Amino acid sequence: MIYFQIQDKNGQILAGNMQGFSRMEDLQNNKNFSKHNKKGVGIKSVYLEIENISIWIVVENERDMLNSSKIFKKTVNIYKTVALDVAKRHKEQISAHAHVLNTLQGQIRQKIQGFAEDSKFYGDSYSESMSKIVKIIEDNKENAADLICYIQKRVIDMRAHLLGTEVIYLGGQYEIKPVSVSLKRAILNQCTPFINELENNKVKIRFFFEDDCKVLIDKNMFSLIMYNFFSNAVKYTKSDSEIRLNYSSDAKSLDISMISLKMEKSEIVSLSNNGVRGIHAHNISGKGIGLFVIQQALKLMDKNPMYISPNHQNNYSENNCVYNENHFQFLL
Amino acid sequence: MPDINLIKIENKFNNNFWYFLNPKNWHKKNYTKDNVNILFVDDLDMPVVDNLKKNGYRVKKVKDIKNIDDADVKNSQIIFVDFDGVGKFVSPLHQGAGLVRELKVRYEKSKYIVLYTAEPSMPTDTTMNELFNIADDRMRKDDDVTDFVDQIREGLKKLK
Repeated sequence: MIYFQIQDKNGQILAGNMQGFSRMEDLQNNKNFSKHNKKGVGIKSVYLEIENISIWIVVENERDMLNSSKIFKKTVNIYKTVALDVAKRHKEQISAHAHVLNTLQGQIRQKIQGFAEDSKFYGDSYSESMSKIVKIIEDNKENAADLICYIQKRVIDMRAHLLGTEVIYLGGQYEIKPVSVSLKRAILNQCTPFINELENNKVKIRFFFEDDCKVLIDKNMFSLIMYNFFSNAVKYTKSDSEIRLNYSSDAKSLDISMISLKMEKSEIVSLSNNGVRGIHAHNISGKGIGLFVIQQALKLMDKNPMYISPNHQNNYSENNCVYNENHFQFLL
Repeated sequence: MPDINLIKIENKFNNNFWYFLNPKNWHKKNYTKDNVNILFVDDLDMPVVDNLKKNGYRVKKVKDIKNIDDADVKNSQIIFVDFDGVGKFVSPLHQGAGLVRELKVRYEKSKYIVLYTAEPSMPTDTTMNELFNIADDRMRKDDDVTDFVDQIREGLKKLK
């Protein structure tokens, strides 16, 4: 059996199965240790520090590896490569989430500063600040309304991001609670942060189902799915076009079609993996998380994965990007 | 004993006097808050842009730069570039940091360029770290409006 443990420079365990090793405690103070016989009974333990991580590898009762230093060295080298990759991936993921949260809190803070400069409140008591803010609001009602709308949008962003993080990392522990939801309203709620940008790009959203159409679904997960869907749509939809949404209550199928960035048929499956970006998406910013979160949320709800069907018959070109009609189907 | 009158005369030769005495500076424009053009290159919403406008600065924001000879770039003296999501046309690999490099190579000291990021830490990768240091300064995207104002003031000094 091979046991390993990868830790960062702060001692945080990034990956490993060392908990299964019965003599883990005994070797804590002597991690470079070897004791085995020729029959392969015993252990060999190695501890290495490379770059900003440490790797601890223990081989127990593996005859070939314990008796051949060549095989042992090769195994250690493989673990070294894997460990560096794990550490890099871990850092990238933390960085991506921190990046989003930093951006959102910065946007909210700067927006508030634009409305009521915090330096004007230094040293004031809470009630003094309150009175000053009331005065500012009275004098700038439109700006106050703009601030509240802005914060509301960013809170939707933040909530979707935090829920998305939960789905990625704590997926199995989320308790699904299906409730009756107004489909159109639930979708429009999640469009809110993107409305301005869609309008600027002259992209219209058109619904082809009744306003009072209701579906039984987990509200949070559905919101998360729609948020990530529109977050992608705003980036990848061709300007001056339509996003058309249709719902069939018999088939319980939400169908969305739009003219958006070309997806090759060969890449459709891999696009749903964490961190994978489309072949044609190199000119557009993104982290390759959106589709992964959508598919994970559907999986949590025990629904089929989102079905993607590109139609390559008509291609459109704009800003060095190729667009075609793409269809997306959700079975709710 | 120093001549007290001589000291008084010496004090009249302040920085501006020596600045104008140098022929190199005769055709240089003196930038101030009122005539400096500031450009933000960021694919996301950046409320600090509106805040600076309210404070009387001439600020413009673009989502990306397709060409470093764009009119927006040429007309700006101070440029803030986001590290993420921009520079796709100029430097697809190194994004904002690559864009800053291209701008510095093309415009040298005639533009004051600041690279900002919402990343939790500066990159440890050597190539990227070198690119980060090409910018005149670096700052965090979520910094206060006052930090951006300080950065502009620093830019105005350097542009002189």
